[in-house]
This record gives sequence, C-alpha cells and structure tokens, in this order.
Amino acid sequence: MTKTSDPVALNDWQVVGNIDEISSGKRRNTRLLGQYIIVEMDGDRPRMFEANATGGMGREHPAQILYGHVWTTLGSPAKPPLEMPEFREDGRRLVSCGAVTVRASPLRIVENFLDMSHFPYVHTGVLGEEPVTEVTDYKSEIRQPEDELWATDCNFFQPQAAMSADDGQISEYMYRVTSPFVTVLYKTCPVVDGAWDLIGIFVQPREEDLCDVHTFMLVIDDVSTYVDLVHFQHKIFLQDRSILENQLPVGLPLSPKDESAVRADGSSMLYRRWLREKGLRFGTYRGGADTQAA
Amino acid sequence: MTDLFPENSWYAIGGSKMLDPGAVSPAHLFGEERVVWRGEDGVSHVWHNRCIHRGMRLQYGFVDKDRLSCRYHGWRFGGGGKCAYIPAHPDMTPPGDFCIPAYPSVEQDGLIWTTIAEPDGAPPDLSGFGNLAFCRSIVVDAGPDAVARAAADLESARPVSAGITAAGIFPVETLVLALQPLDDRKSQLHVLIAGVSADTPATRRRYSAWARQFRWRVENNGTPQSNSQARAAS
Repeated sequence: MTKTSDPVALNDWQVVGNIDEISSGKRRNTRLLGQYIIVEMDGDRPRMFEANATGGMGREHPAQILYGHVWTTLGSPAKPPLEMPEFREDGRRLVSCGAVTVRASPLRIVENFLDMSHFPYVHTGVLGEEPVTEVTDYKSEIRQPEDELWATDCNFFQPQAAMSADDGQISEYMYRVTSPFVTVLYKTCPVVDGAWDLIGIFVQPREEDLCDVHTFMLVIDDVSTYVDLVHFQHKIFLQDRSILENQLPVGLPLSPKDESAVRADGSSMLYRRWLREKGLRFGTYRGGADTQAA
Repeated sequence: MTDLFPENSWYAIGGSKMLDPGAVSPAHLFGEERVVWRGEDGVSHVWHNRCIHRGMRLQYGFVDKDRLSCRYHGWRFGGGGKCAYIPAHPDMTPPGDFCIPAYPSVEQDGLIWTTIAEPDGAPPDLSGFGNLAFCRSIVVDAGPDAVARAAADLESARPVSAGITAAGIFPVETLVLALQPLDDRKSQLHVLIAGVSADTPATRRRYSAWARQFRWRVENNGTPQSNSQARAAS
C-alpha cells in the first residue's frame, strides 16, 4: 500500500526502532503507515526520510530520541509523545526488547495488551492458570485534559508474574493508553513494596495488518540478567502473537455490535469508543468482506 | 458457487475416522472458514471458525468434555454453538444470544457432511455401493469445476449427486469421489472405495497412489505423470 490518508494516524508520534538498532551506524529501512521510510543517526540526532520511488531519500520529517527509542511522525502532531516520569528515577533498568513483527492490526495488538482475561489461556502457568480465571471489577476512564485511557484497580492471580517472582502472587496492574498505538502498563513490583514496574509497547504500524512491536521494560530488578529479562518478555509476546495473527476480521471492529463483550472487556470497549470518537480509520474493520485496504 | 455445486447441497468435509474424540480441525467450504470438532461424547460439530468474543479462530481451541473452548479467553461453547461458560465471570450465565453460528454436521458412509445454506433433504445415500471404506482425502490445486470435469472424464464415470462421482478405475472395486469446493482455486477430494477388499491396506495404497496421479493430471492440464515425477512426488 501507499502512505495512508488517515489524518488521525498521520498526526501522531510513532516509534520506528530503538537506539541500539539505529545508532550503530546502520540505517533502518522500514515502513510507517504504508510509507517506505529511512531512519538514520546524524551524530546524536535521528533523522527520518520518506524513501522515494528509487529508494533514495525523499522528504524529511521530524524525529527525536525518547525513552531509548526513535520517535517520528509523517504528519503534524498536536502534542508531544507521552510523559513517563519514572524514566528519571534512580534504580531502574531500561530493557529494550527489540522489535517483533506481527501480521495483525496495530489496534488488535494494543487491545490484547489491555486484556487480563486471556492470561490463564495464552500465558498458562506464567501470568495466569485455571481455575483462578475471574477478572474482578476494575475502573476504566478517559482522563482529560491529557486524553489518555486508564484502567486501574486491576487485580489478577499470577503463578509467575515476572522474571524476579519466585511464586504466585496477586498482581495489581494499571493500564494506560496514550495514543492509538502506544500503551504502557504499571505492575506490582515483586521486589520492592509499593513500587511499580513499567512494561510498554510502542507499535509501529507498517501496514494496516502488519506491525513491528517495540517492547520495553523499566523495572527494579538487579538480579536478573538482561538476556533473562528479554527472554521472559519475548516468551510472553510470542504467545500473544499466536493469537493476534488469528483474529478475524483482521481490522479491529469499533462498533459494539460486531463482537460480544462482558464486564472484563470494559477497557477494550472504552478503547474502541475512544478510537471511534477520534475518527481513526487505520487498522479498523470497515465492514463488508474483511479488507486490509485503507 | 457454480451450477455444479448448489448452495443447499451437502458436501463432505472429511473422513469420520480422521476426527478422533477431542480433535479440533479447520475446514474450508466455498471460501468460508469452518471449525470441525468432536466432543468426548463422540458428537461432531461444524461451526463458523471464529469466536464471537474477540474473533479468534476456533480451530486453535481445545475440547473440554462436550464443549469447545476458545484458545484466547477460554469461553466454552456447547451444542448448537451456545456459549455455556465465561471464565472471566465464573458465576455469570452467558446471555442467550452469545452463540457461534453452527452448521449441520451429519456422519454418513464414513464422511462428515455439512452445508452452507439450508439443506435440501439429507446427504446423498451411498449405502447402495455396499462395504464402503474411507481411503484418504487429497487437496487439489484446481478449482472445483476443473476437478469435477476431470472426475466426469474418468473411465466408466457416473455422477451420483452434486460433487459425487463413482467410477471403476480398477477391476473389482468401485471408486467414489466426494468433492469439497474449498474456494475458487482449490478443491479437496475425499476418496472412498466400495467392494469386498475395500478396507485393506493394499487396496488403500493402490487408490491412494491413483489419487496422487489424478491430482497431478488435474493440476497439469491432463498431462500424465512420468515415472520419475511420480517418484519425486510420493
């Protein structure tokens, strides 16, 4: 496909790689919202260009480094990327897990990230396990003026909640969606009482049905090795991918009539409503035979 | 859909003995996706291959007694596709309209039969062939019309009903082919053999090899397969 014409998707900041992948002098040739792009470092400064028909560098767009990743946009965002003050706290480790390619809508990927009721079935023995499958009531809301979706008071029993967890615990979660393709969760830290670990996904929508998902963890854990932490995160995410690549229709249906929902889907229903009110089209199901066309 | 393959006809989508209790399998018919599964109680089901909750393909689900569980959130669906249990809310009775679209599943003459529209009567009765045995299924990379034409061109071929052809390609037994239109470009043939020695390994091997060669001919516009090609393909 070619660059989308969806202004909601265009006028937003998107992640297109982490600094380890790009700063080593390697160009990253990739796609964003249907547009072929070239990302490279010019000293400390990231630059992003549309690739023209011959693969050469075309129009340049804004790019910046934030939270260990390169952020860029093909449009004119009204606001900067999300605020995560925890990145300025001492004693935390940033673990960038790299990109996992998923043949799915970016919106299905974010929605799955918000979902607790799949833990016992998709992440069996790690993030959940029968018979403890109940999703107790939680709160979901759109917070203004920041225009972010938050789900709070989310509790779930987990056999192995994190790399640093020795046995089962009730994990408490807070979920936060700051733009249609960017979401982060706050989860009870198994090591320090009262502290939260952050896990986030920056979804790079290459096409309506094809994404690179850039995952990071910002954790308090001075025991696990970097490799162990990445392996834990990859194991979880690859389990999710087996679901995400098998959902029909490929695009996310935004109408409440298209799929059945229960109380546990409160954050998912709010996410769909929030997208509908924004008028987002990219990655949505737009009726008829399922189509990936914009 | 073509004149040869009416919507309200019955189509075989697999051999009964290929679907054990507890098995879950995908199937295609006229480009539509189905899940075929058999409960521990032995009853087979043909449903839309999509969970009503978050669209997950049900072919990756698992059987829990006489219910199918979706792999994504563990929603359990029982007879008729009705949702019976939602693990996120164990005490809740699922609403009556939480239902996977279900299609007929009839097992007859060693095959599982279904339809995509309201069926016209019962599946074709093949009992007249006597001692009928399921041999194998084989996917052919050709549209249903082309496969049906090739089947009709077999020596002593005679049409039985929509998609069903009988032929005497070898002495003694009768071959019965049941065609499943997968989509416009792909078909599956279910090979049955009728006759006293129909259910023996030697007969199955002979007809299975014949089916591979038949597939070759259809996929290569009638060109017979050479011996070296046959060796490479087997």
